[in-house]
This record gives sequence, C-alpha cells and structure tokens, in this order.
Amino acid sequence: MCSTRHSIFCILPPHILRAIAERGTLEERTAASRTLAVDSTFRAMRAAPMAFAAPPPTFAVQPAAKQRTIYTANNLQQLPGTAVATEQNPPTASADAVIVEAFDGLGATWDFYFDVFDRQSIDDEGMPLNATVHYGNRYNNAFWNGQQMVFGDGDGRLFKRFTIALDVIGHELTHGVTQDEAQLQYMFQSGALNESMSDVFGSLIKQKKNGDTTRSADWLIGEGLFTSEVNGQALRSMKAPGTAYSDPVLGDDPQPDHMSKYVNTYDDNGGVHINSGIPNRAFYLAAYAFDGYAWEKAGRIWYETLRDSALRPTTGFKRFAKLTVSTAGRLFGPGSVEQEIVADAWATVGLSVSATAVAVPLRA
Amino acid sequence: MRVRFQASGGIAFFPGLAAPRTIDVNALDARTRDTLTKLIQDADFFNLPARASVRPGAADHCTYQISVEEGSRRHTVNVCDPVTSTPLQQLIEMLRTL
Repeated sequence: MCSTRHSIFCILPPHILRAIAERGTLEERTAASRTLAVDSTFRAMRAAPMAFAAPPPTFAVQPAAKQRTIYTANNLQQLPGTAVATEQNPPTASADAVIVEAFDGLGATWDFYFDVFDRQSIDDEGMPLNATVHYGNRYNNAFWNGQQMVFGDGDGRLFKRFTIALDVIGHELTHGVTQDEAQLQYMFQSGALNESMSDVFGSLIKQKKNGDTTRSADWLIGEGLFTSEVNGQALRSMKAPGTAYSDPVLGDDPQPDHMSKYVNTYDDNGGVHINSGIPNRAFYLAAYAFDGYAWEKAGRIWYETLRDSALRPTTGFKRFAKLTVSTAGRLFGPGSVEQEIVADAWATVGLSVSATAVAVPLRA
Repeated sequence: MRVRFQASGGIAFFPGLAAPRTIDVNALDARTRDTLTKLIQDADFFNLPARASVRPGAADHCTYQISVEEGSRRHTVNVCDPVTSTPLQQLIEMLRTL
C-alpha cells in the first residue's frame, strides 16, 4: 500500500528516491525525503520483526463455555423432544430430579474434561451437550445416539432412573469423545476398548466429583441404578470384573478379568460390554499402583493414548496395551517407573508388553 | 402365527435378559392376540426393511430382532434405538412384556 499521493514514489527504490531528494523540484524533494524516512522505518521493522511485533489483540480469547440443553421425550421416543432446561434457563432446585441430574451430570463431565485435560467439550471445540430424559416407557437404558445422550426412566422393578449415576452420564458422553478422537469400531476388541474408555473416564468423572482417591473409589460403574429387588451392586466392577451382580433375572456378571477368560461371542456386538472387563482391570491396576488421584497419571496416559493417531479404529487389546506403555514412556520417560507400572498392569491381565521393548516415538 | 423376539445391546450385557423368546400368538388370550396382531399390521411389518441403519458413533443403544412367521410368510427385522415408527415402538414394548 502506498501512503503518498504521488504515484511515482510508490515503487521507486531508495537510490532513485535519494537522487530525486537531491536534484528534484521543491515538491519532488519534499515528497522523496518523506518517503525515504517512512521507507527506512519499515525496512528497520522488517529487519527486526520481533521488536516490532503487532501488539496483542485488545480482546481476550475466551474458552468455549458450557452449552447444555435438556429435553424431555415425555415417555415417547421422538428425539430430541421438548427443551426443558438450558444454560440460560437452568433447572431450579425444585425441578424434576431427572432434569436436574442430567443437567448437573453434563456439567460435571464438561468440567472434568476442561479442568483435567483442557478439553473444551466432547469435540474439543465447544460442542453443545444435549440430553433427552424420560425417553420411552419404563425404558431400562441410557445411550449415546452419535449426537446426544438419551436417558430412560427405568422400569422401577429392576432399574431406577438412569440419570441417577454420574458415571453413566460420563460413560455415554465419553463415547462422543472416543468418536471424535479414535472412532474405535463398536465391535469385538476395538468395541470393548471403546466401552472401556467410557467406563474409565465415566469412573474418573465420578471420582473427581466425589474427591475420591484410587484407594477410596469404589471402581463400580452404575452403582445405584439397581432397585433393591436386584442382587447386585452395579453394572460392572473395574476392580473385580465379574463380581458386580449375580441375580436370578439378570444372570451372573459375565465380565472376564484376564485374557485367559476372554469371551468369544457374537452377542453384544462381539462382547463389547463383556470383554471390556479386561482393559478396565488393567486401568484399575495401573491407577492403584500410581496411588493418589486416578486421573493424574493413569487417566492422563489413557487420554493421551486415545488422542494418539497410532490408535486406529480397528485397534485391539494388544496394540492398545503397547500404545499405553509407549505413551507412559513419552510422558514420564523411557524406562520410567510409570512405564513399568503400566506394563505390569497389562501383564497382570494376560497381555505382556515389555516396557523396554516399546519404542518411544520421537515427537517434533 | 409365531413371533420370535430378542433384545440386545444397551449399557450393559445381562445374560438373563439376552435370550430370545418365541411367542405362539395363537396360544395367547383373545384380547392379547388381537392387540398383537393389529400392531404387526399397523407397523406394516412384512414390508419393513430387514436392517435399519445406525448413526456413526452411536453406542449402548438397544437392538431388537423380531421375526414373524404367518403361514407361508416369514420376515425378520433388526431395528435399533431410537425406533421412529410409533406402531413398531408399541409392538416392541408389547413383546418386551409378554
């Protein structure tokens, strides 16, 4: 851009401008001298860009804020339903407990990912969090439909309302995180890893909300969902897979705690809720060995592994175990105690990954 | 008419709830039989697609497999939550409770 009216000075090099300044008319000498002064300044600025860096913007870059909306399906099955609470109109203390629990649970999940991992919502870009409650008629389930959460009320005979368990809310929303980061296919071992990721971070969300350490946490998923009619504690146990329930109607908890008990089945998308017990226990073992708060080391290792581009949609248990060991080495140093703890955890569940044999990828 | 129904999926796998059930419609009481038969008709069951699509990234949804055998006709459908057809929703709800 040329700042002078006289077009002859816009593209002239300095030696010609100096000649004009010495031998031109009064008007031409004045214009050339002024141009030389400005040009000299700009040349000096170009030579020292950092010294003359543009001042910081006057506005502050704000992190994305929570954008929650709770809908009710009014016991039908059309989604999303009718909006009953938003950030601008949050539920009051006297509102339907289901709406309050869903709203608070979405908030706790958002807070966890932001406070612990600096992640802004499920997609790390401030995605709105939406949930529909009162879905269906006595619907015994909660699910992630690829875009939002959906909660049933439970039949009151076996199950209470599904908003009652914070880890279930965190579990479902974490499916969205996994969908965003790794797209682990929802079948067989990759699907079991997908499920395990949701149990891991669902549990961590509950633990952080409660202020639990690895020692005080119950490591149960869905504790509080069953009515008193059910002989069971929870949907699953990360600490002791296979022990969460033994009920005449529901059956016995089918989860294995070791690869020697891996369940080969075509049920349950190839056992995604069954064989997740194995990676769940590996996480519990690693977290317990680290002590303290489970999200600080074990949670970070698992989260960074989820974000690792080496984690593919078809990744199975063995490769995932290797990746967590590799991540531990990257975060805490090759051959570190942390890396050995992760390797030991996997070895305990029957997946041997040598801590020293895993190459720690160099990062630019 | 015979109906085979199996619900699977959900947030957890419960072995006790996973087994398929076969219902001999003719053995039901008249009122239940008429209600069930009407729901199958209202859902246009024999013209439903065999398999409904699932949105990418969806997880923990229930899946329902329904097979109806009537005379020489037999048809099986697999549908996932959310079930958008109201008659089909009502059919599934009834089959879950029978």
